[in-house]
Amino acid sequence: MIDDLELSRRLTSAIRAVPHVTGVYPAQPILEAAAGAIAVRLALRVPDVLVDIDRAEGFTTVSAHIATSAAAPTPETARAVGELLRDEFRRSHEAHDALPGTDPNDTLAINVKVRLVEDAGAFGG
Amino acid sequence: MTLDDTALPEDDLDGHTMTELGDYLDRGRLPVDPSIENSAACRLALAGMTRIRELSWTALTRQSALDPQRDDTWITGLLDTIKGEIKSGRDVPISHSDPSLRLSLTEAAVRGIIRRAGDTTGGIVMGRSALEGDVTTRGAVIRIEVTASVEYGRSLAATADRLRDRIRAALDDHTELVVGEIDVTIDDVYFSEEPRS
Repeated sequence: MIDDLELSRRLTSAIRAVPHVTGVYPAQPILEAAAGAIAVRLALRVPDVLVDIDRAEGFTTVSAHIATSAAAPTPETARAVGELLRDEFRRSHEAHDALPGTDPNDTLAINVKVRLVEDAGAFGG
Repeated sequence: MTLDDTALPEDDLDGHTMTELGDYLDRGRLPVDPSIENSAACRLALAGMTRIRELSWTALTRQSALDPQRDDTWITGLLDTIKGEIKSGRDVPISHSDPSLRLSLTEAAVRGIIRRAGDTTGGIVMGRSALEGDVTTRGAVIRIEVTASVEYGRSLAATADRLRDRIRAALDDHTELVVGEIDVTIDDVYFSEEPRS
């Protein structure tokens, strides 16, 4: 069984491997993200848990904020990331026991937000 | 790069200031600062600042010699514009056949696409850009408004047409926006290394 922290870590890593994704940013609500940013700045935390997984009342929302390379059409990259998150999330439920209090049949929503389209060959993140 | 702004962190820059980002660029982005590099807003601002530097260094140097006060005003205005463009703004939808996938670009990302298209046109330094209309509704026709500074000696009409084409092509590549008119206002002229005759 994996918890949502570990699942977020895996999803963050998987997104980074998608072609033309140049960065992943915190998708958590602003206060959590601010606390995380401070922790990163103080070198207390490696920014590898950036995908937000929110479960509430039969509804699961997975959110990711990304940067993409201008070398590929942005909609294609966003779709690839969305499909990856959906498929990986479902796969994780099939491969592991559901978490206490969660239901694998929860309604699922995947949010992918592109926050930056970078020049091809720009500094990677 | 020297900037005349407050040293207080700004909410939209994830705790950083434009001055810090300018200093960071001056250091060649070394040592790598994760709190900057892992911030979409900071990287958006850095991209704009880098292009200003690359595109207009010669022009700035020349104009500095001619009229230092005007140069300060110009560069400060451009940086203020970039700072204003990093607010995420509205979500611009990207379609998908699976309704459980909600994909979007931020308005800031779209403004960044427009800025890059303009700044890579040649003979242009982009000013402000605005997306007018309902960008959150797929299929709605929107209007783009931009301002730009043009290199002295270039045809204003031809340069504006070229800029429109570049912006339209970039938005076609990277968004699903339905772009109607693109209003270009040339609000300044700058000199290259040698004025064109």
